[in-house]
Amino acid sequence: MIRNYFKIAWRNLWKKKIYTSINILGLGIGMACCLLIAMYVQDELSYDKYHTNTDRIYRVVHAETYGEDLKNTAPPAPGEFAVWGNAPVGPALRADFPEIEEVVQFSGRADILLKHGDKNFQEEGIFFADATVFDLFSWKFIAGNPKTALEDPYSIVLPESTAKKYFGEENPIGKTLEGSSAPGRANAGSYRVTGVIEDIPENSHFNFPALLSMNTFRKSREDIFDMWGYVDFYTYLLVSENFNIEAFEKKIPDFITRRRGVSPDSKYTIALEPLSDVYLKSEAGRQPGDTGSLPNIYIFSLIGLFILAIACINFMNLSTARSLERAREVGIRKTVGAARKNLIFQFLSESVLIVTFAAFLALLFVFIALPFVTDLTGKSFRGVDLFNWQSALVYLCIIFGLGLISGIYPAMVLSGFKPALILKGISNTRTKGAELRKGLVIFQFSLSIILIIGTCIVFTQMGYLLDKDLGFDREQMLVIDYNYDGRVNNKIETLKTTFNNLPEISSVAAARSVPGSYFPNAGTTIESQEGTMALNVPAIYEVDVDFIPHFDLELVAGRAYSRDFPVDTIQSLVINEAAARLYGYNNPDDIIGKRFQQWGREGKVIGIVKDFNYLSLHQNIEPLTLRLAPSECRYLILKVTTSDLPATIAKIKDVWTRTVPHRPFLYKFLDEDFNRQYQADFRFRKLFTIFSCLAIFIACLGLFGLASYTAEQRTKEIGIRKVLGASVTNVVMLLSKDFIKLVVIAIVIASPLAWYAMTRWLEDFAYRIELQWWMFALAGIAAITIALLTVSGQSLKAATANPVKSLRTE
Amino acid sequence: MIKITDLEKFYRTEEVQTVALNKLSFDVKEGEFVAVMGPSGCGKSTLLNILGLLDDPDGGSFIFNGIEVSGFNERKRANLRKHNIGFVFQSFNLIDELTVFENVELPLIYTGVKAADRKERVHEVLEKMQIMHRKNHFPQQLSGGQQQRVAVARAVVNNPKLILADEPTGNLDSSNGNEVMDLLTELNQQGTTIVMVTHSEHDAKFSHRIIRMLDGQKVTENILV
Repeated sequence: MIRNYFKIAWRNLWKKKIYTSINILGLGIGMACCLLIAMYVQDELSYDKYHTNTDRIYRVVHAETYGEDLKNTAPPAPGEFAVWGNAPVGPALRADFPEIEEVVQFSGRADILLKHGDKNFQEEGIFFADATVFDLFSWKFIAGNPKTALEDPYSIVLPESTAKKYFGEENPIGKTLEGSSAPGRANAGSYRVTGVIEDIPENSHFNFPALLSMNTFRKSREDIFDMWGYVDFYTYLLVSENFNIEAFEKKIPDFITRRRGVSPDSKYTIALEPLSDVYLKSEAGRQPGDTGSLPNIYIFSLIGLFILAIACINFMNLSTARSLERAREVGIRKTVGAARKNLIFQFLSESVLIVTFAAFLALLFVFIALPFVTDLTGKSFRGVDLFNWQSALVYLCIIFGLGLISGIYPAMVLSGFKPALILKGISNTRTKGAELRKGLVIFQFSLSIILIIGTCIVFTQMGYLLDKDLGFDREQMLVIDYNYDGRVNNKIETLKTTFNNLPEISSVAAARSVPGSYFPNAGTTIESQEGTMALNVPAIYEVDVDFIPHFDLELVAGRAYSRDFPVDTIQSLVINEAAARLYGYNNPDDIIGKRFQQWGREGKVIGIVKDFNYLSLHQNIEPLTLRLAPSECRYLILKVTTSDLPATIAKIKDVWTRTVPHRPFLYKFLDEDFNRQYQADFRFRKLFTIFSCLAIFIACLGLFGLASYTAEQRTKEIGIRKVLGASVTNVVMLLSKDFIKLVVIAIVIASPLAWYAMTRWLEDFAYRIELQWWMFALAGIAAITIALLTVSGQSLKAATANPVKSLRTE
Repeated sequence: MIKITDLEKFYRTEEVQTVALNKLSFDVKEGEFVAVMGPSGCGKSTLLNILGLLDDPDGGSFIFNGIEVSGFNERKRANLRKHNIGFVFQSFNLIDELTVFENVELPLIYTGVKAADRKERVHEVLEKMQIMHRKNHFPQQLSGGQQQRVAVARAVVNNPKLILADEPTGNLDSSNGNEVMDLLTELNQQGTTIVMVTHSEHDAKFSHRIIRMLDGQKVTENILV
């Protein structure tokens, strides 16, 4: 019997090629989208799960509050914690709690110049790590002993790709790499390669080009390891099998009091994050690597379901719209003895057959799309991952599940026909199904319009991010990274003068941090309005005297640093408005002349710069101090005024290599680098746009199918109307009107939903656009236009047909 | 075999109620060949649908093989139908997507006959109807007469006790029509009960008894044999 079902299903599908292609294409695209999204989501969810001990690894996060915040007795919010913290907490936890079996601390990210023979690269994001690191993290050793590899000072473990970069096919074990200094962490020295590990899997919450032994750090700065106030470490714990986090957290306050003591100026606490949550769920600041976005996973999963729903609805709509064609067959089958269940089974096998074809098409699409997806998401997916028994099982479930979901309604409708009525040529099924079809089309278009509105808003917001005045000059700023190189710093004035003499360069400044790059925080006390000294830990930019005018930062009170005031080099401080407010000064003029202490320096606040967005626009402008410390700088920033960039860069490089030949010329453009913070947002925009287009395309496929059936069914009516004098325009209008009405209803339904969803999305940006009515109108017009184009072709065909012919065929 | 008493059927639209069968009563004995005649709209086809268990009466009694079936649900009716009743329609009602063989095979599939037995029985019937050479063709490739022979083959393949024929020659020319009538007569002679609705006096003459209807009622009854 099943063979008979599949046979007739096959013949039916073959006979109605347009209908079949619409269904298979729509479902194929839908399933391909879902499959790709599923791969993406699965990858996001797999972060850090590959370690043998994943379930037993926790990460310490730290929160310290100062000043006004001290009065707040509520525990810190998740966003107030930072992953970066002090060193002593790790060993203290290990010593005090038997349930903590091992501790590993990292320090980084350090950018170090590594050299072997003529190979010389600045490696970014190197970490120092305890020798116990491989007890916790299951990074596979290719060579060397994991137990001892990071014991000795100046030992280095390299991932395979780094090892190859320096040593090619040679065995690197025992060989050395000359390393530049890692300011604040380690002096320059010769690192001995003690281990090679496989490259860190991409689904790791942080990655590195090399691991250096923590004892290297300890050797140059032993004192730091006992300082509870010195922040430079990431602490990970291996806990016992029966570890109870709730019970452990209750012991934290006592532990802190016992070990660190109570400070009148600050309140410190820690919390633990399970390793499996850190990539997606951690809200803590100062992460060692990139974090994922749980909301994005939800958004894309939802979009995947939307697209699949739209494709399934096409199937339902086209099947029921065609019900009249199938009615006679149902009548006959019932007459010769088919029970309803036989017919339901028959129609379900047809939908399973269609879904099976669609599934193969989806696989093909996925294979074609994989390289683009890899490009788009930055993840490398492999086609072979799709072929294992788990995937096959999931695939089978999807085929039967989808076949059932999309087939059950048409099957119920078709099998419910009364043979006596059908064979007589009477059918009341047309109107009943039509209402539901309209409802489903409205549903499809509501989903599509939500996506169109979403796309429109995402684009506008991203445009805003790129164009917003950030309060500093970021155009044509060439940033040379010399990584605190002392020899460069010694020649910095020479370099600045030489560059300033180039006609293509209008100004030059040096700084430790530039907008979009790393910056530290500094414990800073400033005299309050009451005359007491208040401690806070604002961000700090160490800059040279030219930094403020160079970036065109606006002064709202006082003055900038100046060569005319020698006192500025050690006794002055410029801060931003947010910092002034932090210390209780709403009027910036009032803080001028107040005393400050910061990192061993004492003096007076001399100037307030207007708040500028040195952080991404996801964040508010935080308090910032601009400390004059030319010798601590890392970057040289050149304002380029020419349009002939390649020539200018060549000139700059020439000056650089002549003045500081030992230092590679590494540069970037400030705006590009700043916008790199929005990489995830741009990726989101791209994916969102693509999926929206696909959703609307599939919805239109369905609309096209429905329009052609409607036109077909109304041939006689159209013929009569034309005989009675209707013009082609009248008929096109008549046929299109009904569909447009549905799209308009969909706009009304979709707009408030999209408004709600996009308001939530925008909340993630501290600086965001206001939602405007025109965004919704634009999306609406776009949807109507697309629908009209889809429908009008079929309407026009029906309208221009010869009425005599259509009446005769009836 | 069939006993209907005071059978009623109404068709309702929102405003109008039409009486299709008005307290109709008659019997059909096993082995009989009965023709039902009457003008269009007199209720002939409605009667046939009820007799074929495709439709439910609104009133009265319908005893089939000694069982009251008027209150049966769809599942029970389908079950009774597939084992006992074969249909022949004016418009043949073959499934276009199935071949001749597959069309004839269909009732056997629904009664759960094994594939090998099905093949044998279908071949047997096709031979009898003399369309064996067309078994792999699709209905559209056949002439009207051939299509009706396939339809008759399908109706008898399950060896039903009753064949209901709704104007079986209505779409055929006279020679094809006669062939079909000869087939039905032959089946009747072999013991199958036949109830045939027809407009044609010529066809009606093949039957044993003619029931004439008007406005849902029996008007006269002529016994021919």
